[in-house]
Amino acid sequence: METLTALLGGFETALTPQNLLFALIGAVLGTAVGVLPGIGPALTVALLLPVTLKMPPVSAFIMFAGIYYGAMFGGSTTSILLKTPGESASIVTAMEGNQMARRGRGAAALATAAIGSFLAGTIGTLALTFAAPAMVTFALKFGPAEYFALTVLAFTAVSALLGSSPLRGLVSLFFGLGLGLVGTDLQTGQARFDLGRPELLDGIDVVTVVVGLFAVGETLYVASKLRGVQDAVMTFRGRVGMTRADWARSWKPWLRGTLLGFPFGALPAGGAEMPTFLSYLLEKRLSRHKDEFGKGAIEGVAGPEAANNAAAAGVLVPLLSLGLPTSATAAILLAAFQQYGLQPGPLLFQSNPALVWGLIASLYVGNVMLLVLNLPLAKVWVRLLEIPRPLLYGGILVFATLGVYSLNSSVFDLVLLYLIGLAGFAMRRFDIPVAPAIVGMILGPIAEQQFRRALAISQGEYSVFLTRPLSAVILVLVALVLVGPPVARWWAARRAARAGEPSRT
Amino acid sequence: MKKAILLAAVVLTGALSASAQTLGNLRIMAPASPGGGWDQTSRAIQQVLQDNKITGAVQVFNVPGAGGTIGLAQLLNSKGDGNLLMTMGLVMVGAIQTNRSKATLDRVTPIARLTGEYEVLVVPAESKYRTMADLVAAWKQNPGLPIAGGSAGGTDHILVGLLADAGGIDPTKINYVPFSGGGETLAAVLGNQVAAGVAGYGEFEAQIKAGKLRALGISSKKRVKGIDAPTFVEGGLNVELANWRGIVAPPGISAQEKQALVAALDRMHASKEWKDTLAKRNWEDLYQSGSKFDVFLKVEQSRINKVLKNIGLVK
Amino acid sequence: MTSPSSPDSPRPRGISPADLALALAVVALGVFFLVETFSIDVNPGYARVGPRFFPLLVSFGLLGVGAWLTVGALRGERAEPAAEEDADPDAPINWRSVGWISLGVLAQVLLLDRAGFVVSSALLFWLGARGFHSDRPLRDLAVAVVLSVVVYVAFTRGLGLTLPPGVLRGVL
Repeated sequence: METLTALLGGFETALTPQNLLFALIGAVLGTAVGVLPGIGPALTVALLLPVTLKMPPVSAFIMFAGIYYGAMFGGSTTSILLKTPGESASIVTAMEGNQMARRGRGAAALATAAIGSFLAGTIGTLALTFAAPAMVTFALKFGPAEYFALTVLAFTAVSALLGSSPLRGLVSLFFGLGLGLVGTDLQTGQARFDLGRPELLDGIDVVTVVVGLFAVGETLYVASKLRGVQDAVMTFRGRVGMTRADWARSWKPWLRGTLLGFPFGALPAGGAEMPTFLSYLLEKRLSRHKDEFGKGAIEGVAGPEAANNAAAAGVLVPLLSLGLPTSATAAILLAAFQQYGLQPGPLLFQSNPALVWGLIASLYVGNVMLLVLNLPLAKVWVRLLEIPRPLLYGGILVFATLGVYSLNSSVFDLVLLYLIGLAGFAMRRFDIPVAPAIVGMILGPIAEQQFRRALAISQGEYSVFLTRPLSAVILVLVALVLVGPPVARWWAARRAARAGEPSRT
Repeated sequence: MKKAILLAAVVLTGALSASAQTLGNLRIMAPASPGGGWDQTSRAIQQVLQDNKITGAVQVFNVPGAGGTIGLAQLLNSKGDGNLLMTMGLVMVGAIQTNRSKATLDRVTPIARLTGEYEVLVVPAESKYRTMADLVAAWKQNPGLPIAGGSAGGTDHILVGLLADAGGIDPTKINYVPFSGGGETLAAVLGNQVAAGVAGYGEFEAQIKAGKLRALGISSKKRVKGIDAPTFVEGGLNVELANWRGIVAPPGISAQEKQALVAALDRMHASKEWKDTLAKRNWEDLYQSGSKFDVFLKVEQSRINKVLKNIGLVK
Repeated sequence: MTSPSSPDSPRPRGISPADLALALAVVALGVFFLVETFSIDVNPGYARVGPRFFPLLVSFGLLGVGAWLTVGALRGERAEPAAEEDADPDAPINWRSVGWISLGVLAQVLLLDRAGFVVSSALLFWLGARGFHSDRPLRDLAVAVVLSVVVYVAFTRGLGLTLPPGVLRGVL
């Protein structure tokens, strides 16, 4: 009840014309930077920090919230239509959604992503409103051992992404793991694989790898094997929205994705990528259309996109209730609080309720705005594909290099981008899937650091992974994921044999 | 007498107009990404310098990477540019040594030390360690007591090394567990994953005030107003450390150019707006300019080098 | 996923040099990682597992999959190029297109700091369009310049991002 009153007070703040305008500006700006590869919400908010210093804090945060959610909405657009994701949490969408777009289902893919994002964002915000304290208590039970177990669980998702040949999938995975090793080892401060270049000491940014393997690699490959007449317009990919069957196949993945994404976001070292990988694995396992996965299954877009957005809402739980930033954008938001002399945490709810509840209320408002903005836009975005190819790919190249350059203002990163782009080109030529490389690049360093951290804390006791109950539970889950399907197949085969019917697997 | 006054006036106006000439437009390099500490410091300086018309337009740009050493290398290449400044600090001093950077601070022109933040060591509220002495006693028994902080070789690690040394524990035997950033350290301490955690006071402030964390010590010389924590010195450990931030200019600028920059920052420091900024952001005023800062920078570099050798990160 | 190869002619047998080269490149990458792993300094720590352990695993992993690929390539296995939108997997690689795009990225790398974002990006765009066989160079140039200027102004004025102005310093 107390929460409800406070939330109503928040809506009073969020619904003033001025703040509605800021929410709209944020939503539009967020969608725009989300659409462009490589330019994310963290950089946008960071760049806007000095500008907003003279604005009232509530308005500034309402705008930031719009950018934050908007970028998540926008991120799926270019992934689906052009297979050029700008951040690691939309690579699953880029694979499955782009396959849908190629089969003329681009608008439906965009719609399921937008509605899933809306649903996940709203449910996530509800959970943030009413369940934040409980979530935080639970999240703090996770130590390095648990995070290591979680990454092992997420690694099992690779099996769903390997593509036609497991060997080629493994080549990609190890390539990504190798890229993830470059840079200073956090645990000991030693440089690894830096080739004597100071630019490599901070490691290779995952954005450079995502944009390189996808956008640049794809551009090089398509150009090298271009089919059809010069200057042709892209094939018409249909502007038909979601059908009744699409709805029926989407709603469960939306909810499951939300349930996966939100807790991961709330974990201090969870992140948005792991739940998208796991959601994809889960949907593939549960779907009755397994054969469509990898060829444009709507569940494979709906689930991961919901997971991505729910994680974004989850990130706000530790940020607002503990002052604990768990993602790059959250760290910048924390800096924004500090810029106003505010310290997020348990006391902020008491000392500045108008700000906190205004911000939370604006998340609901922003989500509705974004849905209203993005659903009709889906059909407009599809027209992007009608741009003549030379201009479309020229534009992709400009935005890809701009995004990567803006990471460090360094042309060195552009050289890296090109080399990784060449690798992406070769991988397409030799039928090596690119997604496992990204998975390896993201999960490898987390797994390694948390593993060694857990061992340091236990002073070298390897048993910690099994003696800590949560870690043990997750590892049992890993075993089930790995052993479950073969056992289930065997069981089904036995039953089928007994019933005297031919086995369907 | 009259002559002398006149002469002084001429010299003064001459100096002033000289400084006005050289300090038209300034560029400040933040050797880190937008939003970080150096970036925020640079933008605060920009704001105050411009608003008080101490200089012309000030432009801030970011050259992130490798603890600021990439920005430093670029600064060294801008030899003789009297309108360029770079923010830097303790973190850079450490990074130069742990990264074995070819670019060092030996050639830069030091201008001023500006602000800083003190480090605190905290334990969870339910921890059995009530004081620094409790912790040190347990630490001596078991040097493997896990203590969390930021990246290896960073400010937090340096502090833990200094504390171990002062407490009579072999710094090469300590079990420092690096986390990426203050947020993860905070989570590890709150979740009781480690015995203690170290970070800048700001990272822990909200939780200390809410009673979820207990600060056993702060790295300042004297107690800080508004912070409920004894100093390490009070706890019997002779350790002082400030995560300071300062500003330097490229090598090879003229003495006048240096003087003009020092004078501009002196004026900035004296302004009311700067004091308000410090108060609002909870930055400690550690201002020191000119030759004092030159000396400080030298002493600090050799002190940090010694600690990093002690904890085995630098050979 | 891969489109069926032309049904009339059976695949040529024998070792494919390209596939063998890829396999050996993966092996070489593994060797590189292995060699570099041994140049990582090791400090004593409580973790027991030092900074070399995971790199070793990755090196062996790369060597393993590389060896496996090599055996396959020597047996005459060959990869089917991926089927992407607008791409004809069976077409020979048009190296000239790859060259145009590479030249564009090279222009961005070399000219960004010197000539400025607008000039280098416009060049990248134009050369990129060349790579896609555009036959309207003037239209491409116009779009390239307009896009670069709009992006430059939007990002530097709107967001306060610092992009090198280069030759257009003071003009934009």
